[in-house]
Amino acid sequence: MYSITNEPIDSNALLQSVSDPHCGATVLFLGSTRQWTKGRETKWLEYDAYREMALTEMKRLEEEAMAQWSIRHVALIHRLGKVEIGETSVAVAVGSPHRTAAFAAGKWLIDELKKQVPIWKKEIFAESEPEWVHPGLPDTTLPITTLPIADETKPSEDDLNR
Amino acid sequence: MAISIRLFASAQQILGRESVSIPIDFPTTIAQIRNSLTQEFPQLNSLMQHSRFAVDLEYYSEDRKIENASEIALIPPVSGG
Repeated sequence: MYSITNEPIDSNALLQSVSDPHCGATVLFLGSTRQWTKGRETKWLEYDAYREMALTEMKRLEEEAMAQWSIRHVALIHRLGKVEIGETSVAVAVGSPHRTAAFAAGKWLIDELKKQVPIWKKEIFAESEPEWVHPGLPDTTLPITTLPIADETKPSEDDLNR
Repeated sequence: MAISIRLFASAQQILGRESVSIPIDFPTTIAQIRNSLTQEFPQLNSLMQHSRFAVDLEYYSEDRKIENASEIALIPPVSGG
């Protein structure tokens, strides 16, 4: 099951849609609007899509995941329009007899969705002009800071010392 | 003939419209379409260097031959999720 909606995402309904008596594992990923990114405050996000192609790509991802892992159900939903802080913009759910396949398929699905599905987010910032987000594009509008900003994907020295 | 190229996100914002029309003779390639767009709309240059193209809802590589198309779209780096 895959869909694009302008309404809030109902994660309980999604979980039910990927469960059946053959499934012993259900994995759910929810992506939601983050207020703070590298010290910058976001007020809300707005999503737009090339709808017809986004649905085509979501269908392809679902079919590839079903072919690659021993899973029984996949659900992909992306929300468009305004998404407030803390609200869910994207959901991926996988139902499978066992957890290993469910986790692997779920991770692959959200990673691929973020790379391939033609959907874009616009950040509405608290203290600067709104910006479309285009990963990999040199960003000339970001303020120049004198201190290096921590890369959130790497553990900080504090984390390593714990 | 002229074909319409759909625009999204920053591309739409930069040109202030949802599509543009450029002259194209089939068969063609994404590389040729990219060239025509660059000449016609130089303000899209830096964005286009990082963008892909889709032909009839499918990503196309630069040199894949396009015999015909009902819809072509410029796809800037995506940011769903």
